[in-house]
Amino acid sequence: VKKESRINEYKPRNQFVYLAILPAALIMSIVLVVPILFNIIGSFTNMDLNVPLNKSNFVGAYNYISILKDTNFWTIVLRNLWWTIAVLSFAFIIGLVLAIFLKDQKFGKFFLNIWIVPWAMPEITTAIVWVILLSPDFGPFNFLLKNLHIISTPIPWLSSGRLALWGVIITAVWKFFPFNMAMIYSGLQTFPEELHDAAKVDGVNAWQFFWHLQLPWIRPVVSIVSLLGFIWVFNWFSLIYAMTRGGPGGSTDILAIYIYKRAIEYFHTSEAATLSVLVLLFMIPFIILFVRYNISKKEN
Amino acid sequence: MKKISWSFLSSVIILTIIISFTLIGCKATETTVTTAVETTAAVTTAVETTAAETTAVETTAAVEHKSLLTEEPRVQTIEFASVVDVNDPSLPYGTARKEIADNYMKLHPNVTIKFTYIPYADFFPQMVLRVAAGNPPAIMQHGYATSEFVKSGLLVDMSSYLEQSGWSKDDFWPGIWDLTTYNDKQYGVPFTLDTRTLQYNADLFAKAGINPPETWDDLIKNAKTFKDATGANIIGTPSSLVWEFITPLVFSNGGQWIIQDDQGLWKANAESTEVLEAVAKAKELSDSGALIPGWLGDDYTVIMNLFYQGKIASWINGPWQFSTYDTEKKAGTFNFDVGQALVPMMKVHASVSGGWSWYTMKSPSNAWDTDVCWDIINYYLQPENLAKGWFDSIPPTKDYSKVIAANDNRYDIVLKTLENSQFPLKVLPNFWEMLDTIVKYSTQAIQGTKTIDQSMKELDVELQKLLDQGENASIKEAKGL
Repeated sequence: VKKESRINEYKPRNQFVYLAILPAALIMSIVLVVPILFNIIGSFTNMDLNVPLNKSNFVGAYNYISILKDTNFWTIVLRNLWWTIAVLSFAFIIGLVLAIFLKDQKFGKFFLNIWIVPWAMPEITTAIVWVILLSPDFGPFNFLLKNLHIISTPIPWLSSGRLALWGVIITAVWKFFPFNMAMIYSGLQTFPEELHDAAKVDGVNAWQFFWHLQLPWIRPVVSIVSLLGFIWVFNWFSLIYAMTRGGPGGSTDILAIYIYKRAIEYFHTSEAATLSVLVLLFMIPFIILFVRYNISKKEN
Repeated sequence: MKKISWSFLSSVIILTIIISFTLIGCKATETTVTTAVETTAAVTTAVETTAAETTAVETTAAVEHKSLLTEEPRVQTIEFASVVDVNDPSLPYGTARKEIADNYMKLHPNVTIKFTYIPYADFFPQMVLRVAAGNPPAIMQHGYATSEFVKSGLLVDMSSYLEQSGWSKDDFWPGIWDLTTYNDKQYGVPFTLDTRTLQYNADLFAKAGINPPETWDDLIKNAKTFKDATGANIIGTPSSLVWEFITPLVFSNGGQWIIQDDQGLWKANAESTEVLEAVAKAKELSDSGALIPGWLGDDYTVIMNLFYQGKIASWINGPWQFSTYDTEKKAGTFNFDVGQALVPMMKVHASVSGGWSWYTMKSPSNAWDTDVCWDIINYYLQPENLAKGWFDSIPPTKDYSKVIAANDNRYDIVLKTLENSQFPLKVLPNFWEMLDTIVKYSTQAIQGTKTIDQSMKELDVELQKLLDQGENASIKEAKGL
């Protein structure tokens, strides 16, 4: 009964609604569904620069098997996960701390506006700025560390196979934390003043106040930020490509770059299509979670 | 009933409005899309212009050439896509290229030559996307993808055009001729060749009292003395190390990344002694401090600026830099003399070549004649036209290269270097992927993230896989192996 009533709740009262959304639905189908379908079809063929899709042969699951058997692919998947988790975690922690700090400050909104700048900055500009900042030849970071006698030789942040991923993670965190900060800040703004006062009367300390009251209050925001963040960061292309192009020695290669290289630089279109499908399959649970979460939020 | 009618009526009216807007929108979108595509092309290509629009270029008399055209061609536009911005006044060969096009159009008023400039970094992806979209240019400047484009049936076989116009293999430098040869047919016309030499800051070497290094061991031996005396690193190299660093070492040690066996099949050769020794030498160079710290992250522009600033004293680079040196020195960017020497060696002096060729693309909609495309290319190859503008690096024809060398002594060493200069790999299918793979595993070996033996073993496996998927598959199919 509950399910039925829920369906009825969303059932349009007027058939006109279907007509009204038809043009948009058609356009969305053409620009979204058709390319995805072509991509999925292409992943089962041997299409290439030399073999367009209409002249290609069906190869079954060959592309999938060869990719899944490739150790390079798994190395890149693990690196992609590591990159995503590292960026999300650091950006969230920094965003949370700053949001809590700014909430009760007199000039909180002012600093919020200042610290949101990295998020608003174009990615290519961010990449160029950070390549300069981290440069061992003329970067201010190395200059500072050297003058403070913390290091004797400059650190090759982006050119060492061991450090390059950290170099791009630092940049991504700098770029992404303002989004976390702004969302959490706006979540905290809705925290009821009465609860705050009641907590004060009950003698709740700062940690208890954060852990038992504030954090549960902003949990919906945290969930949405984490979900969206996962989808964005996992597929982040431009920043890494502009900074390192996946190098040195493949140490910053993640799936988005790997797919681009295979499709555009090496002409292996069907392989790139297969990789895209695999990424899509991996993303689907997160997308469903996101959509379901939004629906349940609406219901509540 | 009345309510339903009103609902129905309002639905019909609103739907009609939506459909009308959609249709108008479609029409507008059609225009907008076209404009957007053009705009995108304009943005990515930065400059797109017809040579006819030129006003600033001083035009000279059109050069007569032996044309194969028997009659005036039909009205057509020939789009010429290249990495040269013909509107950039700082590129003398660019403006000359436009001037030559103007002169050609005077000879053939029905033909309009439209230049499309695509920056180097975007060039290959842009071309792939345009080809895939069925919208190739008529003439394309390209390199290293001959086999792929031939297999996709996009290129015109130019062998007979070259032969009929009196050009033969002997007229061109061998490396660049091979670049456009596939299955014994000539699918493009070589236009620019380059090689690498050691270009150095003569003042810093004089200050250190050290001669430019003859061998890599000399370079390592003198690195510390040089740094102490001048504060500069003795050498720098861009991170695209396959061209400027690791491959010259391999070649100078008598090695090759890939070799051909008796049956004509290609074999990866990364585990050969010559390659292993060369990679070990590269690691030694990196570890010795001869190179600047973090050199593996520095791109070409960074290294160039460090050279201008005197922070590195030498780099391995091509003759395309000569005109920039002249301009920058004049502008006061640096004030030292740039010297030039052969690339240091292990066993013999060797260097790495690169180059660009011009290809005629098949027209998907019969929009242009390949005869006209060839006629334009041939017009550019005439010595008088080559003489008008310097087309970057080394001209493709031996005769004209000697003319250039006679006027600029920097080309003495360049032409000497050409005697033992090769492309980093034979240009086979998967060329770029093989190069990237070499960079990847060499970097791992040099940085010590893997041992030299391990990384070269993995490189060997990866290269062999690419060879087997590419050229070896075709050879086996052709020979029934």
